[in-house]
Amino acid sequence: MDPESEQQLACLFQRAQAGDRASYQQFLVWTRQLVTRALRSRVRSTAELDDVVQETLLSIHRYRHTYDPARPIGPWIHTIALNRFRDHLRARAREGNPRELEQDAKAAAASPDETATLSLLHGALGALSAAQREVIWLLKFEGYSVLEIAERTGRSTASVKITAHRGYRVLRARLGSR
Amino acid sequence: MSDELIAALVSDLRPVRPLANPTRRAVRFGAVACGAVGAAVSLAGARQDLAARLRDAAFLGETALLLASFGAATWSALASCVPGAAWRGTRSWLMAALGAWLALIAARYALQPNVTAIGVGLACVRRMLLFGIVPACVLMLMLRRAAPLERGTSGFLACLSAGSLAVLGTRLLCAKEDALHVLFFHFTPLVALAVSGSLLGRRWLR
Repeated sequence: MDPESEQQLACLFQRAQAGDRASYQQFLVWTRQLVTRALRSRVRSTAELDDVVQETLLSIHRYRHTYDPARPIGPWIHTIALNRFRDHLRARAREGNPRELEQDAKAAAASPDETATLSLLHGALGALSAAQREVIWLLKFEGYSVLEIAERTGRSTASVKITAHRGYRVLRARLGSR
Repeated sequence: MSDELIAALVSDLRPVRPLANPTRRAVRFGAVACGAVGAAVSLAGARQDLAARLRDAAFLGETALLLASFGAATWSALASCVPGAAWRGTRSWLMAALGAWLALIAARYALQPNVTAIGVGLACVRRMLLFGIVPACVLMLMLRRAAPLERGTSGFLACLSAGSLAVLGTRLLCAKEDALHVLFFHFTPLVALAVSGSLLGRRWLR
């Protein structure tokens, strides 16, 4: 990252820390490009790369108060991205490739042995937190929209989407480990 | 999918106050923790020979090493939870401080090879836990508020910091100077506390 871009990125993020949404949107779009470019050569598939980038964006959002405006922003983003990439490698090593195994699980769902699949799904849903289970259940099984779930549960739509995203990751890991 | 995520994150944005830098937070924590342990030592009553010990170079060296370990571990723990902060260099300082303390214990044993009495040290372990538990919890909470990306390491450093201060407080109360007593009931519990901090950090610092 050249110093001028880094400076611009830091300015956007400082405004985002103060609550400026337009700056934050711009910051996240640029950061997504930066992180994608940095990790492209290290991650095998586009889907996995997308997962790591999304996890990085979620962590940036969660830890945004830890950025010190007196310091350069490049190493701050880089460290978060690298840690999420390491987590991804650890998860892959521990559970095998979740995507391949998820495809296996989907194939199993299409096979006649539906009882086993239902039991697998039941177990996976059991690994979710109560909030994640509620949101995913309402979204995928009851067919509610994000807005309807937000109204029903008293959460913001953003919170519903983030909870669902986290829940999907847990499900993917869980289904992948079987 | 990531467009949706960006939209969700943007709509979830709230203003935040950036955390103070690790040095400032370490100084604040250090001042409060030292004050609290100092007050606890005063209440419990410091060892009778403390005035004489304060003229003993080995005791002063040990105290300085424990303070160095406390300071370095506190700063490293806080800095380890700030993405991009350069904190790994202090690990060698920490290891050097603990290694030097171990060397001092070994030297004391070498000078008094006939002294094999370990003494009853459970009171020291209890004191250490009492002195260390509150600073450890406070530091863990501070780490949890930041960005604990390396949870095990941050937990280890937090408990090493609290443990070093707790050993320092215990040394001001415990008049037993036998090398084996110090090794088994002061040094070993410190290491055990740090290791348990690492395990705790992995589970709790999320």
